[in-house]
Amino acid sequence: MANKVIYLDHAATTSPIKEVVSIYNEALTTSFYNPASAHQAGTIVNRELENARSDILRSFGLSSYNLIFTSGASESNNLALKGYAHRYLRRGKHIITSSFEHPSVTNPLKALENEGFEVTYLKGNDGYISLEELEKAIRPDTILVSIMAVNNEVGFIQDIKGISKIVHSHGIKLHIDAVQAVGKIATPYSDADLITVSMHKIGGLKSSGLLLYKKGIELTSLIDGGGQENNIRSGTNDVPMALADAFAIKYALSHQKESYEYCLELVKPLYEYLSNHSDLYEINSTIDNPFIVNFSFKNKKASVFVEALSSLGIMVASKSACSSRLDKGSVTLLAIGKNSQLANNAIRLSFSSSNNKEDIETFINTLDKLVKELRA
Amino acid sequence: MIKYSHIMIRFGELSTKGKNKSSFIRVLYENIKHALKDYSSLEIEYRYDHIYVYLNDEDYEPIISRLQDVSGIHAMSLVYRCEKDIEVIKSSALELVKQESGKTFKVNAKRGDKKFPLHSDEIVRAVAPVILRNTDLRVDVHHPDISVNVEIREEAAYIFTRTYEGAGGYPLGVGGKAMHMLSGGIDSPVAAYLLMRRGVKIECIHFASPPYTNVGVIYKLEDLLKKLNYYQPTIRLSIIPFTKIQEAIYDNVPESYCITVMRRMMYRLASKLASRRNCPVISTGESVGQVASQTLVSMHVINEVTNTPVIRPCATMDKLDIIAISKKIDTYDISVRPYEDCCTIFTPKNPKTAPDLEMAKEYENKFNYEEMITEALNNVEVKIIGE
Repeated sequence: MANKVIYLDHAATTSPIKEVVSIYNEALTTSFYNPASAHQAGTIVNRELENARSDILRSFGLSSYNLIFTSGASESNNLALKGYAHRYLRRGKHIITSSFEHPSVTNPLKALENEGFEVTYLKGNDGYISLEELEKAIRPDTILVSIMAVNNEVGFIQDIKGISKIVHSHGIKLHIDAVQAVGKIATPYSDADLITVSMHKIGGLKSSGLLLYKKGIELTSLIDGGGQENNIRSGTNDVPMALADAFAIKYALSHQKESYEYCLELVKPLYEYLSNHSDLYEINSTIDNPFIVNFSFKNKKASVFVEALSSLGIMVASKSACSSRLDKGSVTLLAIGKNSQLANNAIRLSFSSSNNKEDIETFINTLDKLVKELRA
Repeated sequence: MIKYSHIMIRFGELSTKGKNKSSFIRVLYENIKHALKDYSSLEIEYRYDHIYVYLNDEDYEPIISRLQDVSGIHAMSLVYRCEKDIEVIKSSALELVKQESGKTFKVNAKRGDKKFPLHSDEIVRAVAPVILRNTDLRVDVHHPDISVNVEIREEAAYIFTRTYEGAGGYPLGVGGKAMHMLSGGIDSPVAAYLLMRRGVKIECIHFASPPYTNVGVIYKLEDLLKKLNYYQPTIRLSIIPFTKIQEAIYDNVPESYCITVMRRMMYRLASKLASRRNCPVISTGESVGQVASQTLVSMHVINEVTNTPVIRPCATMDKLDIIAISKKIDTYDISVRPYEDCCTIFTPKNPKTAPDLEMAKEYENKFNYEEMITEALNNVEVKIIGE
């Protein structure tokens, strides 16, 4: 690896905010007690835990919601889908989602299908949910709709307001995976009944996620045990983590607008470069979401570029595998109508306010050079 | 629980005569010592035609298991030591026989200490009836299931009934050195192992073409060699920067000849490195006929670039047999990790199975490969895997 790293893969994970680390570090020693303990020390940290919980809900403007601390968005998605489906299966066994969700949504749904649930995967219009298609798909036995608020590969922003109107008019609940939305895209969280959040995508720590959900909703637990989190998610609460989470959420949400404007300016030259070379690149994303730029090589092998960029210190994402055996490619790109060459040779760049103009310039110049030199 | 005193090791093909024999034994002795280095209580010595591993109360099972992977050993016996008293010998022999399974037995005796009162025949005649009376076994002097061997020496009597098969082959090191082309696939580690079993030490050469090949391949090679360290404790890996050559082939050679010319370049590099490193031969994991470059005609055209002998241990093996060995030496799971040593960009859809030598030469003369080869050899990255 080169000495200086230009990190352009923030959608995969982010480096923790300094204050988050110091809050966490300090709390590891001062607030290590078990909040379920009967003694005073336990009572005090339990208070800290609950304060963190209400702080987070307040930051979202959802004080009337419940909040569960989980081990990450994958667990939150599993809990939301399986927990809701199992609790309300007597009302119906039909769930609706899109054909371009994250595996931590599609795979639990596949598991539910194996148990006898039916799932409709909306085709959408080139990556956007079609409200007509959604309306048509709703049945008397539909109990839940799950949609990713912001797509993690191409960055598309769904019309949550429109979707929730339709879903709620039928008395159905809406779950949104807000992992790529929090702190980036202004999202009407109160229009959703269940919300998945991931901490390590917003400058928080890994192995920590949230599930927010409207009061009144009940969920069947995935993890049974000591009965923490209202019997919905057992396991000793991690108070230091909760404190770290509270800070990270507050920070992310309060800086959302600023981050958005900043990244918007940042990516303009990038879009300009890509569109000026439309013989080489096909742009898959739109500038509506300046945090994610996704483009495909029209006639080159992306994996070689990823490797070449890596050795020059530039880290980017791609589903294009080096091996002929792994024919993964992007399910999302195929689902939104891109052909196999484009779906298999896409690169995703994702930004945060830690990137600067020089990063973008260096990337553009390096990519341009490589595209002329590599026999890919 | 019977406490065996030592393991007696016999060599097979080492029954060469003269000067060679003692150096073979010395190498095998050192290899055994190294293989058993974690067992501090063992004493290992060699005498005449055997090597002895004195257990000193150590559990014999893991030791036998380890020794079964040391090439050059033909067979090993677990030996029990007792007093040179015929009654003790009789009861010990009986106890040992009861541990073994089988229907028939035979007693053999050797009297090294001529002062012992009984001749070998008398020893046999004393021991055999005890076994007959106290077990259901019958005597079979031609093909006994259990062979009861009694040896009387100066210091004690030794009895052994159990013999384990060794790995065979030659001790690692007596066979010289080979420059082995390691691709990271299933075959090349197996070929390496087969060479090591014949006493040949290997040095490896690998051709890397970043960024067309991923850094993960190198980690894969390291992990493969760590598995092979079980048979050869130190392995030197030379990584040749092959990108320039790969690109030149892509630019100058028609698709169907790309693999042929690429393999010719690899053979040139391997034989030059082999000579620099004093390896009299090159070796590869190739087998006849699996892929286009492995037809006999291809081999001929590719091999033409060098007269360094090329050994291909897997040449006539079925893929299934190669896979079986690969699983036995624990390299299979590593080999199938999805990092390829040659980017699919450079693998033609229709490679020539019967390339023409003159055409291959014509194509490669379109670029200055000699210079590129020299440059590549001047920029080798060396890794030592193991000790």
